[in-house]
Amino acid sequence: MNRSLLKNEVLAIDLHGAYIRRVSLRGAILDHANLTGADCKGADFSSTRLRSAILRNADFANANLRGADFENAELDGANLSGADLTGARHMTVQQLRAAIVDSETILSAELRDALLAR
Amino acid sequence: MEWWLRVAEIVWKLSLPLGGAVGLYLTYLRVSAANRQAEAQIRQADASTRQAELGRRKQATDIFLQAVGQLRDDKLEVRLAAIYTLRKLVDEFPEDRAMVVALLAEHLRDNPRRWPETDDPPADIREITRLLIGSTQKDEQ
Repeated sequence: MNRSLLKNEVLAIDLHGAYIRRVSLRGAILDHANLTGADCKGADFSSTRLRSAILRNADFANANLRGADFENAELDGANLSGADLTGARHMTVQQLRAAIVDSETILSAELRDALLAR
Repeated sequence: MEWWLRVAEIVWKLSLPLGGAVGLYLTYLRVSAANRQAEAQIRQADASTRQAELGRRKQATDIFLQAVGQLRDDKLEVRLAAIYTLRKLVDEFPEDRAMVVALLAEHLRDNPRRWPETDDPPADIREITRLLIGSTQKDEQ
C-alpha cells in the first residue's frame, strides 16, 4: 500500500540543508516547507506545490520544476540554473530576479520576456 | 385497661411509618454499597485503560527508537526495514505521524551517504521520499 505521510494535511516539513539530489518529490504538497540551502540538483519537483515555501539558497540546478506552484515562495539566492520551469504556476518576475537564472534555465516565453525587460 | 389500649393504638400507628423509615434506610444502605462497588469497578477499569495506554505508548516509543538506530545502519536492508517499520508505526499510531516525518526529514539532511548528481539516490532514500509524498497522492486527494 502506497501511503503518503504528507497526504491531506499540510505539514510544514523542514528539509533545510537536505541532500535530495535526483529524488522524486513529484506532486508533493510542500506548502510552507523549509528547503533553505537544500541540495536538490536534478530532483523532480514537477507538479509539486510549494506555496509559501522557503527555498532560499536551495540548489535546483537541472531540476524538473515543470508545473510546480510557487505562490508566495521565497526564492532568494535559489539556484535555478538549467532547471525546467515550464508551466510553473504563480511564479513572478520578482521571484526569478531574486533567484539565480542562467541561459539554460527553461522558462515560459512570458516569464523570459518579462525577465529580460528590466 | 383503657390506657393499655391507647398505648397499643399509638404503637400500631407509629409502627407503619417507623417500619417504612427503617426499610428506606436499609434500601439506602444497599444502594450506597452498590454505588461504591460500581465506582470501584469504574476506577479499576480506568486504571486498566491507563495501563494499556501506557503499554501502547511504550511499544510505540520502543519501535521508534529502534528505527532511529536502524536508519543509520550500513546495510541497506536494515535501513529499508526501519522505513517500513516507521510506516507501520504511523498506521498504528497516527498521532506519531509528525514525529516520523521529522525523523525522516532529519535523515534526508544528515544522511552520511552521498551520491553524485548523475546517479539515482539509493533505495532507502527513494523509499523515504515515496513514503513522504506517495505516488498515489494525487489520486487520494
